[in-house]
Formats: sequence, C-alpha cells, structure tokens
Amino acid sequence: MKLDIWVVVAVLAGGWAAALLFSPHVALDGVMYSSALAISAVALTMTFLTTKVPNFAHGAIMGVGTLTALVLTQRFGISPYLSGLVALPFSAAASVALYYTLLPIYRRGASPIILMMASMAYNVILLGVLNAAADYFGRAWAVFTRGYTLKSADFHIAHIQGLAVAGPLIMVAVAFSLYLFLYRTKLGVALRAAVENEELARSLGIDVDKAFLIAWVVAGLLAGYSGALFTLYFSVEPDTGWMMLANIFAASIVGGLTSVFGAILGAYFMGFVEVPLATWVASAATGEPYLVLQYRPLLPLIAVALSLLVLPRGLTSLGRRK
Amino acid sequence: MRWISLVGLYLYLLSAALVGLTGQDLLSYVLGSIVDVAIFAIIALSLNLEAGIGGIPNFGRVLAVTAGAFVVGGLIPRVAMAIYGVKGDFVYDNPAVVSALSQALDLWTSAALVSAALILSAAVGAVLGMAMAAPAVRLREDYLAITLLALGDFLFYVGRYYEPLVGGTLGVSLPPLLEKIFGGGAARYLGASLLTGAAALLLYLLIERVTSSPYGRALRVHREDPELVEVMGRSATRLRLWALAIGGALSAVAGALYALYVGAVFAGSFTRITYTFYPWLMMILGGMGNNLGVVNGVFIFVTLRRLIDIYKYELSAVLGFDPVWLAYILFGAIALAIIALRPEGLVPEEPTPLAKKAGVLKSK
Repeated sequence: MKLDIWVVVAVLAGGWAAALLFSPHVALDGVMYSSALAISAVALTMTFLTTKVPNFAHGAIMGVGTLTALVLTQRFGISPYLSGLVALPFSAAASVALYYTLLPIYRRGASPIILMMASMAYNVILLGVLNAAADYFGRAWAVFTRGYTLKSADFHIAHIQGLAVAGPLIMVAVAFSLYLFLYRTKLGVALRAAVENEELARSLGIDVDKAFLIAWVVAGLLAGYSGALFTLYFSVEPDTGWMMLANIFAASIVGGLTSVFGAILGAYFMGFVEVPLATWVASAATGEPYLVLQYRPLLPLIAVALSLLVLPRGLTSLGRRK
Repeated sequence: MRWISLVGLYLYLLSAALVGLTGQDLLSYVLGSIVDVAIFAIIALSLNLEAGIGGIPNFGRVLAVTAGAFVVGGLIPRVAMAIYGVKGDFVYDNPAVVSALSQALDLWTSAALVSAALILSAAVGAVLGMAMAAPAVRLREDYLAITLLALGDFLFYVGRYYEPLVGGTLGVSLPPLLEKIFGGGAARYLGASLLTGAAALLLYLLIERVTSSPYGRALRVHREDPELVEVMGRSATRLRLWALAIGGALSAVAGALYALYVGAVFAGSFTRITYTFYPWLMMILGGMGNNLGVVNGVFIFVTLRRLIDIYKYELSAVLGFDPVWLAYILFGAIALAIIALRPEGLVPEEPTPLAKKAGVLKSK
C-alpha cells in the first residue's frame, strides 16, 4: 500500500475539523473522550512493547485513578485534575507490582497465554481491592463511588467544558515528554533498544529489566491519570477502565501496537469513529439517533477484529515499505 | 489415583461439613453448589478442550454462554407462545405472558421445550464457535486472544440494549418450564440440580472421549506446533474449527442450563469476568490439558464462592465491604500463586508420547 501515513493524519484532522464546524458540541465530546483514551492507549502500548503481553489488568490499573479522583474530589473539594495526580503513586505501584509478578514468568520462557492469564488473575485481584475500597470509602467518607461523574467539578471556559481544552493539552504534554524521554535521554534510547532486540541490548550492557521497569512505571502513571480524566467525561465506577478494555485495545491496535505515537493516532481515530462519526451516521440513518447510539460499545469490538484482519500492523504501517 | 486428583472434591466435602456443623442450611448449600459446579464445569471443560488441549486462546468464552442463555430467554418462550396461541409481547407484557404460559404448559410440552432449548443452544453455540475460528486462521496467539476477548462481549451489549431480545437492562422472566417438569418448591431445585449435574457428567464423559480420541491427540499436537499437524496430513484450520465448534456448543448448553435454573435472563449478568476470566482461572488452577484437573479447579472455585456467600453477613460485619470482593481477591490470588509457582496446575496433565511437556512451558 502506497498510502502515506500523513494522508491518514490529514484526513483524520479534516474529519475532526468538519465535525467541529457542523456540530461543535458532539465534536468537543469526542475530543474529551479521545484525549483520555489516547493517554490510556499509550500506556497499554508501552506494556505490550516491553513484556509482549496484552495486559488485561490495564483497565483495573486505570480504575486506581478513577476511584482516587472520585473519592478525593468529593471529600476534599479539590479539582479532579489534582486528585488524579494524587492517584499516580498508587497506579504506578499497581503497575510495578504487576511487572514484578510477570517478570519471573516471562523469564522462564512461558508462553504469551500464561502471561495473559497472570495479568488476568492480577486483574481479578485488583478489581476486588478497588471495589472493596470503593465500598469502604463510600461508607466511611459518605462519597459516591459508583455511577457518579465529576463533570460538575470541571472548570469551564466560555461554556466549553475544561476537559475539551485540558485533555488535548495534557495529551500533547504527555506525547512531548515521551518523545524527549524516548529519543533524547540515555535511558529512553536504552529502552527502545531493549524493545527492539532484548538479547542484543543485554549484550551491550543495557539493564533491560530496569528499562522495562521504567516503562511499566510510566504506563502505570499514564493509566492512572487517564482513569482520573474519565471521571470528567461520563458516569464512572471503579470498574469503568476494565469495562473499557476493548476501547483501549481498539485504539492501540488501530495504532499498530508497536508505537506509542501510533496509539495516540489510533485513539483520535477511534474517538472520531465512536463519537462524531457514529452520531452523524445515526442521525442521518434514523429519526431516533439515541436508540442507535446505545450500541456504540460494539464499535471498538468490530474495530479490533477488522483492524487486525485487514491492517494487522495498524495505521502507522501505511506507507512503510515492507 | 493419587489423593491430589480429587483435591477439589475433598475441599468441597470439608466445606459442606463446616456448613452443616455451623447450623446453616446444608441442603440448599449442596443443591446450589451442584448447579454451580455443573455449569462452570461444562464451561471450563469446553475451554480446556480449546485452550488447554488445542492451544487456542479463546478469551471470548462468554460469547457462547450468553448465546445459550439468550436462546432460552429470547426464543423458547416465544415458541411456547406460538404453540398455545398466547397473545401479547413476551418482553413488554412479560408478567402477563409468563402467567398465561404457566397455566397453559403441561409436562410433556415443557420437557420438549427444554430439550429443544438445549439442542438449539448447542447449534447456535457451534455456529458462533465456527465464526470465532475465522480470525484464528490469520492471527498470532496474543493478537487472537485480544480479538476473541473483544468479540466475546458482542452479545452482552446487544442483549443489554436491544430490548426486544431479552428485555434489555430489565431482563425477562421465563415461563416455569422446570416447575412443570419437576414440581414446585424444593422439588424444582432438586430437579434442576439433577438435570444440570447429569448434563455435566454426560458432557464430561463426552469430552474425555473426544480428548482421548485420535482427534484429541491431533489437538494436543496442534497446541505444541500447528505446523506439525499439517505434516501429519491433517488440516490445522479444520482442527481448530471443530475444537471451537464443540467448545461453543458445550458452553452454550451451559448457558441455557443456567438460564433455565435461574428462571430468568438478565443480559447484564453475562460479564466476561464471570464467564471468561473465571473459567480460565479455574482451568489453570486445576491443570490445563487435564479434564479431571479442570473439574478440581471448578470445585475449589465454587467452594470458595459458596462459602463466602453463605457467611456473607458474618463476613461483611468484619470486613466493612461486600464479601463478594473478597472472593475476587482470594480467587485471583490463588490462581496467580498457581501460575507463578506451579504452572502445570494442581492436577497436571499426564504426559503422553505425543506431547512430552504439559504444554504450559514453552520448550527452549
């Protein structure tokens, strides 16, 4: 395929611009969703690149951020953007704990299926802990921990919800810092080398375990913060990240699962498909778009299957010569 | 047979003794756990056929289970309505239709409907399994796992939002099929545990038979190396297709039995944690590739879940949160410990000349 990656980017940008022009409300909704999704998809891609395992516990690690933001914002009246930051040590710890659980299994050469099962078992434990904590804090501090949104705690700029502005800004900041880290620091270059060829990196004296650990710390931080951002988008529970696992996988897979920047592109693609495009198609096709839009959760499921079957290496593989 | 081969059963008997001695309702504990063990055993065994023996990472197990339940919830009552000419909409006039049907239904029609439900759900499950085999042709196992995980939730969302199917978020009640066959009250629960228990036993024997047949041995070879199957002159694609079809059919029967037992279908309860992740963890806990081992894993899981359920008031007073989350934590921790320390499971697969290793460790 000769189609250049920048053509895809341009078409996607055009789509977003058209959406903003025709229906600003829906488009901004999509921007909020895509931005939080992008941060999460970047984290998922980082864990996949390092340990080569689809991390099924990724959504539960997001849940750490979701729950912390819900509880702290209601209890202490601080901004969700701030309470999301408080969640970061916890979500990073949850991610590192999973990394150290998977490491010995990975080292003994277990098949990806076994690693997936380990992440699955960890996911079940973490969901149990999160929901127990949700019960406990809900009772002890009299806060809502399920079916609640912090939308009202967001700031507004001229009737535009803050997340629609802050989300892309945070996303750009994340992408820029990741770029600096991966391409301009010694550790980042070492990490990329370790992802590229583990044995070779090791023989060059790179501490692969440490490099991967850093990747999982970063993934934990990003997952936690994206979980916190989702409290500003819709009604959430501690399980929300887990329920959205297919959405996040869809974004990462459409991005190719091989590049963190591909994941960002994938997230804005999926966000565009799921929000403005789905809304537009539903309104054009039926008189009652909201009835059709209920089925939106099916889109990521279809996208995962289609993308892997049609374009298994994602959008970023377009234009790259084989 | 070593003692460990029945470790799950021993643990379960101990728990039943505990329940009896602490003055809880032993009969309802035993009957309820027979149903749970039977349903999860069918699901975990079907998964074992695909993943443990065939090496196909089916992380969309919940799909076929949901399909079976939807056949019972969405189709069978409408067939009954057509038979007796009951007017009305099954979903929107659910209580009226169910009460009209409960007056009209007799023993033989109910028995025929239950049989039809099991056969139809097996057919639908087999078709879904075959559909899942399509991506298995092209994708590497980790990508396949993600795809099947995603596709697994398909019916969950359809059932939840498409009300005419099984009542959307409100669910539907079923006509009292089991009551008409076994009688009301305690007799219904006794009959339901007999029915599901017998079905599970029968399907266990069937799966044992399949896994020890030449086909089963070819599946084990497929797990170790799909290309080797082709060398033997068998088509790996067809092998996978059949494994997923059989697995899907069995799981759908489990879903149908569960819906019949509960007497209602509520789409929201068919979550991937209960019907995909739990069966996977039961399988690895008992021993991937070994049917008897998998059943042990099911027993341990059900024992844990039922015990926590029966002592939930006592536990929640101590814990300060819903004890159901304790079950998540404990079961996840047990499974994780097994994966880390004893990856072949409690009851490992017996090595056969064709597959020297238990399929859990990749040969270096």
